Amino acid sequence: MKIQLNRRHFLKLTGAVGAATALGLHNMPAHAQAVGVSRSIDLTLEQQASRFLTQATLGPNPTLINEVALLGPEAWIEAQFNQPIGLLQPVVEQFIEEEEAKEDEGELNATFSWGWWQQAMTSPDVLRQRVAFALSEIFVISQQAEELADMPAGVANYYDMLLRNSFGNFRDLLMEVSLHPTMGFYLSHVRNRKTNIAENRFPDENYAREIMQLFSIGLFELNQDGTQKLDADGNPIPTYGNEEITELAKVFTGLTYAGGNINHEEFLYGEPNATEPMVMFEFEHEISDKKLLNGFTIFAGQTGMKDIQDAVDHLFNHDNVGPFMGHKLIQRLVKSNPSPAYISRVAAAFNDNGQGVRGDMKAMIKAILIDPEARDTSFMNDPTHGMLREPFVRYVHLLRALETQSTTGTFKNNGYYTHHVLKQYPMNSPSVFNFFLPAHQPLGPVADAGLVAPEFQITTSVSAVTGINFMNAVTFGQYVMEVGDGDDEDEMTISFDIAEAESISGNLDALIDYLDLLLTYGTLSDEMRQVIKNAIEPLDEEPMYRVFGALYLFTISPEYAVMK
Amino acid sequence: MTDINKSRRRFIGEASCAAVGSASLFSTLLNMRMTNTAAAYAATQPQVGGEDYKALVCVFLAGGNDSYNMLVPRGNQEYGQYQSIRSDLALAQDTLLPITPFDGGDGRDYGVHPSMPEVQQMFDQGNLAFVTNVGTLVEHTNKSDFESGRSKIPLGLFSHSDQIMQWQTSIPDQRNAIGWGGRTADLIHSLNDNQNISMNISLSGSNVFQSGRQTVEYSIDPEQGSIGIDGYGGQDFFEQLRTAAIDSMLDIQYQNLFEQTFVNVTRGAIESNQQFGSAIGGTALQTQFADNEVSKSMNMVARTIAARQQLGMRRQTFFVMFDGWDHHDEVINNQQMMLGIVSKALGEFYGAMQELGLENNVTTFTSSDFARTLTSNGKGSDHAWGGNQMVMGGAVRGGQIYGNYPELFEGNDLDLGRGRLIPTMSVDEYFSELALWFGVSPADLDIVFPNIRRFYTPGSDTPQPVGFMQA
Repeated sequence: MKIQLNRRHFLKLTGAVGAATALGLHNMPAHAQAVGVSRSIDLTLEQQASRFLTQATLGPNPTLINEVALLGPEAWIEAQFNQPIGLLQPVVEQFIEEEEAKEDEGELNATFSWGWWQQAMTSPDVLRQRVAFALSEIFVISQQAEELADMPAGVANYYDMLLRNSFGNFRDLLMEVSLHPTMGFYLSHVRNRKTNIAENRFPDENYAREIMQLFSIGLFELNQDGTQKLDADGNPIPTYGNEEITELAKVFTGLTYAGGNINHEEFLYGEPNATEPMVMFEFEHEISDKKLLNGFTIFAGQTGMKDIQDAVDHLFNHDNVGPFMGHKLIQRLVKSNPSPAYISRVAAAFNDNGQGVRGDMKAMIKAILIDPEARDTSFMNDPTHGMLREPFVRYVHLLRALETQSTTGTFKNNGYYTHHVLKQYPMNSPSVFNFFLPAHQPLGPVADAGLVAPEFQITTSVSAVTGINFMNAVTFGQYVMEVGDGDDEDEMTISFDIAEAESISGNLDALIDYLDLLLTYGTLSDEMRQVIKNAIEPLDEEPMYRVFGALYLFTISPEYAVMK
Repeated sequence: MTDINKSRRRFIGEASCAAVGSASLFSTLLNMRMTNTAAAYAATQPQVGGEDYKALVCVFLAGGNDSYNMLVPRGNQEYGQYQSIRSDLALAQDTLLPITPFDGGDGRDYGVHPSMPEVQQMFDQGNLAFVTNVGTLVEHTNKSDFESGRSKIPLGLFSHSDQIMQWQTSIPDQRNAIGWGGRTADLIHSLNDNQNISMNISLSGSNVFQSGRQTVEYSIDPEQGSIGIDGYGGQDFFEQLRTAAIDSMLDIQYQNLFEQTFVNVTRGAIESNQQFGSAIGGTALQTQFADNEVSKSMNMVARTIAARQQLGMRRQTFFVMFDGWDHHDEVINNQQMMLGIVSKALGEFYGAMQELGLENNVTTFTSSDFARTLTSNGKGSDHAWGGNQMVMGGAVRGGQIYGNYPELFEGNDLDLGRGRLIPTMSVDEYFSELALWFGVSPADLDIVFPNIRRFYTPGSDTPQPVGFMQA
């Protein structure tokens, strides 16, 4: 029986290969002949909508699935572009005010997390919230730096800047990131001083390096399809050397916190202002020429702010930005190993939105999500397609899919334990390099195929198990969020809405179909379906346990972990 | 059903262990032959303390430790140079903890950072050595060759991600995620009686150092060791249902590579936990460890070593990462705290090895992305290149500083600007010394360190690349 099953799937797979090849979208690698379970690519309209929403949001729910099924992805994206922004700062500031009114000053450091969850669970601008979360893993600042944990309003302000620019222009995004005081603190270009030879002091190079390596152009010259350009000897061509870094470091001198008087004392020691862009103190700005990339020079004599604008424009107009950022965003939203053709289509949208505008984020996002390589279901049977979803996103997806309710109306998730277990939490990366590196290769079939799977870097023999135990606590334990002091009464304020699931739990296939639509967009394998059936079938006296058991097994299944 | 599943699972586990994936049968056989020879060599090496056990412990200070403030010249003239170039980052001369190299060292006086009394003491007792101005090198170079582009230099020099990787691969001219600890394990893991648990154990998750072509690290938790799935393997009704469900789930073969990898990781975690958990359960040490992540990790390393016989291990590597050394800002205060944590953890760990009678069998060494600019940016220091590292253990010829401690003045021949110093010792030399001690044969050194002949000829009259390990 097993053999028949595999053969059946193999036949389907070869069909899919034919279709994908005919479209000229990618080359199917040799190991595509591998056997193993796969599933029909004939998804219903609702399942296709759910799949799209798994890429484009932090998690689908029945309402959103109906919306997308009705409008189609493209019109739905356009509608999302016009949604009001679900800003975090006003929510966080409200929470801060409430906490400060308490006798012991309450849980101030958790207020950013509360604000994040409030919008993730309730705000209708779901596409924007998803894109901003992706951007927060590219333009990284982290509350692992204690000072930023102590500035929840500032971190919320930074996140709102990402939300605003998610549908704006990349040039503005890069400029606002560069001038944000929390970034100035995190990558230490706030209070960065000009060269002083007598004191043997030179500008801080931290931000100059990372704005190029991580935020705009990357280390090597790229073709528009994301592959590296090679020199005559076949070696990759560095985009810059250390000379260019020391030069760019001079550009980022003279910035300090806003709001104080512009003088030396305030420049060095003024009160940090975490919610307004940094300002220029010309006296500490290096005035000499700055020789940047490919012979471009910023000449002495401009204001400091003009220097920064010119440098940001210079980087923004580098040919690498489209393929470099396109690749990074595809990896966050759709798949780990996009084909060169996919990257070049996204880069082209970045380079020109069709109206001659470069850097239009809407055009880039649309290009990523509407691309055949994201939408065409025939790709789902390509064994190299897809990505391991981030453990944190898998958790949020579950809560959103079950339309989690709060009796208080707030979702004040402290998230300390969640972070510890999942090795991931919003705005809490261990370093500016995010939770995982884009080129990480886990040993085994992925590395053997020469592919990458970044999220496996935080999937170890420890976190694989603690992740399962976490889902156990969330489903069976109904430990849905860490709210209040951790006593049962607090936690009972937040719960899943499983009424619909309970009502159909007498029919196992109906229950599984329902969850398959919400959690795995119709991709649950026949084998996994049988595993779940066998496990929950004996729980016939308690509909609730049947639902919990199904949820537990769904959320630890490979089909849920991997997005195809 | 269970029995069939079990045997199938075992078969799949072994198949994936041998990396059947894309490797041809021929290369698999070749590997096996090579591995057996290498392990046979390692097994013939003299046993230490009557027990055939050796461990290497890597403590990685991620972010780039400003190590010219960890080991500092203390004599008046050299200190004057140091103070001048480091300006506001210079430590006060009278706060440095003096160390006294055996045989007078290079004739200069040195001190260690004031927060490192344990390191000072272990150095003076001969159980800890410094290796100085070591860094990633494709080949030896000098300032004029570097500046004219005549010499080959590491990819992504001065960049964290590349330098962290190269300090673990020892191959700075390639981007390759196979580490030298992984290559070593590929060669000699068959020495271990137990092949179900990796020779390479990480307290800090996935890392390049311990990743081989056939070796993947086994991650454990600094506090709990290995962790099992709640309710798995139990006997009550729910536990039986759960166990059966998870076992059957992990038996499904997935065509999608990510789904199958996810299954492999989960299955490996469950199987290793069953053995590891019971082996390490009864190992408590008298030695007290501090209550921070680094000391906790070193404590768990010590407990794992204590369980080596139950685990069936003769060779092990351990990986502990301590993050947060990128001190563009606040370098003085942060180093005061963080070097103190390192020193204390090293002292505790050495004490625990003495308690187990294994201080001569276990060698601990530090790594870091790079040292930092000698000149200040007004708040901290920026990315540089060559720096100083520590090696600790009874098998170390301690109380010495190996390599050439550079003269710390501006315009020095090694200075590429701002006190970014060209390394005078390669990481290949530093690490191959450790690998030879660990049991890699001179004939196999090229396999573990493909670039080693640019710096040292294995099997030559010079029996050791540097000389800091007892032969």
